[in-house]
Amino acid sequence: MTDTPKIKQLRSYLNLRTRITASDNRVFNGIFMCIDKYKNIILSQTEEFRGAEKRFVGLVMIPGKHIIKAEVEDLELSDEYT
Amino acid sequence: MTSPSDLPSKDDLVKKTQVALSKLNLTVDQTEESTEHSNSLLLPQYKDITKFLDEATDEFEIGQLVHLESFGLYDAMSSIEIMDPKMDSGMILDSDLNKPPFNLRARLKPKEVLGIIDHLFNCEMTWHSGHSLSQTIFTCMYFHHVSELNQELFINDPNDDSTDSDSPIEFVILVLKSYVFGTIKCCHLVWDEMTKGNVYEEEDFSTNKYGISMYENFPDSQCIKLIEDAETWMEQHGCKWIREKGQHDCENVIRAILSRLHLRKSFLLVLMHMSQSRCQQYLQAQRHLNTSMQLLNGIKEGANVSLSLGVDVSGAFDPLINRKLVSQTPPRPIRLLTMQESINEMMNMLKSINATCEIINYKSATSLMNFLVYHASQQPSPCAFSRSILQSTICTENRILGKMSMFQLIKDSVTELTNPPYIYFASKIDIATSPKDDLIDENKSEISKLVHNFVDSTVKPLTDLYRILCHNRSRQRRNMCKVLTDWDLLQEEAEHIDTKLQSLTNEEPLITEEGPSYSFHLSSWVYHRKLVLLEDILFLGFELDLYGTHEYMMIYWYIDYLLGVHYQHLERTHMHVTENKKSKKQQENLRLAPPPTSTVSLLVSQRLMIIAKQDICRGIHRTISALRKTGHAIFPRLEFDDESTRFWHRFRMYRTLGSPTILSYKDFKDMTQFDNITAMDLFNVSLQNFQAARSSIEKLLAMKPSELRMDFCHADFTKELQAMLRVCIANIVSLHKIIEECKENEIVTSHKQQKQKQRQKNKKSLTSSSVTPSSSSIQTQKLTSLRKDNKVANFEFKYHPWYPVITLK
Repeated sequence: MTDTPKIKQLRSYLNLRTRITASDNRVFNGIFMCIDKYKNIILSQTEEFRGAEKRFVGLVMIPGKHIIKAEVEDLELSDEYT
Repeated sequence: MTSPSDLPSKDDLVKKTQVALSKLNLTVDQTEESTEHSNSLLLPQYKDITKFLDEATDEFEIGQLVHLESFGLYDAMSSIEIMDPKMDSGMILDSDLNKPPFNLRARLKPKEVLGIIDHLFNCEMTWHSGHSLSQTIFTCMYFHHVSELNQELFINDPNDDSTDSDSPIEFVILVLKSYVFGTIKCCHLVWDEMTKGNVYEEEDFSTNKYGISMYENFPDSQCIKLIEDAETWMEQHGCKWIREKGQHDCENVIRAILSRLHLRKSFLLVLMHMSQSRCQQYLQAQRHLNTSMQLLNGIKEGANVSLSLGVDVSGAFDPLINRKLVSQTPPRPIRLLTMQESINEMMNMLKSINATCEIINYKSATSLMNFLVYHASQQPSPCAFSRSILQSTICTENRILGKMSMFQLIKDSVTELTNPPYIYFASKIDIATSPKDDLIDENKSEISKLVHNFVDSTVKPLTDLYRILCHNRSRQRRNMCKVLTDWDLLQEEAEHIDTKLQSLTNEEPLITEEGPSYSFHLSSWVYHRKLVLLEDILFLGFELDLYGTHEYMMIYWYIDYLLGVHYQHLERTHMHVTENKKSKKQQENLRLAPPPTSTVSLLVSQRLMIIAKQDICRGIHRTISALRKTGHAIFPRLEFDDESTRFWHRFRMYRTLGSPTILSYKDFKDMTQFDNITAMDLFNVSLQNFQAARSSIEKLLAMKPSELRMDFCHADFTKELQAMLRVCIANIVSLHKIIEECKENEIVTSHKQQKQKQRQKNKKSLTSSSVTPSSSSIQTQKLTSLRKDNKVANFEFKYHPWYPVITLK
């Protein structure tokens, strides 16, 4: 199974900090571990934010259908700070 | 798993920010604001990939995953699914949205205060029964805000539109506050005890505080004062106000609130006294225990009136707090105990603590041990807190009951059973001041040294044993199996020491038919304890439901054997105890031990107990063999295991022991074959066994508590004997019935049985001598077909958890 360029790019996002907004407006910030065809995403060392309320939730799986927004750490932009 | 590349960048960033800040010459403390500010700088820049994800995943093949090499399917499975109400504790459910908000400033009515008090009590007892704090006590909103419950809270409230007809704020700032504080202090004292590590964390009890303070700095004494203030206020003003309101049940409400305050105070006092070191204040604790029990009984008796008086307050208890504290586990709703269950739970706890206070009045080592044995077997089993307290009482910092040394306890324990010569355990001062006698004097220090060696080696196994008896029932058996080898080694060591002591004291052996017999005082005691362990491990298997019905026969047969060994051992000890008395009269220089009447009576009672148990076990396994003959006891066809493997497995931990001799499966088969005996004869023999057991038990029932060394647990002991008696009687009745029924079928059965036997004999001569399991199962199959009726043997442990009543059903 050879990776298409897009999948290759997706693969490069693994292990990066990722921010996902779920359908109930909670934001999950964790490390991108795994994804499947249905956009089910697994994050590790995740923190959950609901407004100002924050808690640690660890390893979570966010089902694709509940993802409204997904963001990944932009290494190119982050580099500007170094 | 952070990528290493961006770590230094962050560090640099922090430095740069700090430099920048210092340049600006801002005197900003490390406050929330500044850290937040720098945090926002530290946060990585994100780019939106929502759309990209859609496109990329479209190119996925079915079942394809993109994942880190280190991340496997197993890891994936352990993740928590977001937006699944069963897993996701952070989800807001519809039911949560409709929940009314909690108002700390609410002026609670007396009944509402009562409602909170009762709910909090249920939470407390549910915690005691093993649930986590986060799902019990911590759900109470007043718990988290108790220190804010002051007058100012109400005075400065701009929204307070209260009128004079509203309830006085004292119901909240005094009555409720003092009760909640009292509960917190009680919980804290219990928590302190539970963290000593006497019981199994997460198995018996949960002590995780999730970083929430239990107001450790608020002194207990101040809490007592607060409750007393509340009591005074209630009596002087609260009552009046409630009465003026003039509801029909006002007197009940007053009584209910007051009794709960009183109970909280005395329970707190109990815990405070119990927590003092070296059991110094158990007497005071007992006084308050009695008060607590009376009050609790009062609440229980008025249960139908007072328990339904409380009114729920919306928002006062929030089970969702659990989500914030335990975020990484799926929510598991629990059921709180009801008021009635909580009262019972507390009653059992108080009774158990009271019994613990009693044992401070030490009578003898054996009675202490017996107390523990019966305490451990209580149903319902004692709560974790009382078991922990008991352990702390018995042994803390090598002090027994806060006052005795281990040496004294071991000395008493050995002396009560085998009555060794006085010189063995004589203290050093005694040795120094005793009249000079050259021959003995040399040996004295040597003897003392040897005995001390023995004591040193005994300390650990014995304290372990005490601890085990304070564990939960399943743990008891498990840990008993673990310490077996310790006791076996100790026995070996004790035998060596005994042999040396024999020559040092010039002990003259008793001449018996089997040759000279030495007393072996120390190792006899060890062997006795070890045999008790061996028996109890097997017996506990019945209580814990570990055996299949088809195994009962071999287990009871094995216990029968162990009890037989034990009986002989005690008989031997008895002989030495009584004989030594005579011989020692001649050797006055060894100093005469106090007349061992107590030892003799203990040995007599122990032997009676053993013989009673043995008769019951023998009756049971013989009845089962007879029922196998008649075909009533069905033996399952085992495909993947056979009886001999099972036999080996069941008694494997006994295999490594030096004594008693392990019996093999062949022994079992040979001794339970009963080929030449008819089922009817076996039934009759069993009947005799049960009758013999009955008469032994009746003899035991007539003995005095002090003779039996049952000073602290005579009621429980009598209860057990009566249960055993019931087992015997029920089995006798049932056996008569079985015999009756068998006689009716006898003509047919006996005819067929003879044929069967003939066939068996033929088969035996043909096949090899060993009984293979397959042939035995064929045998049972054939026997089953012999049965006329469709009845099956039925085992009911209805009177005693160790001995069943066997009936045909």
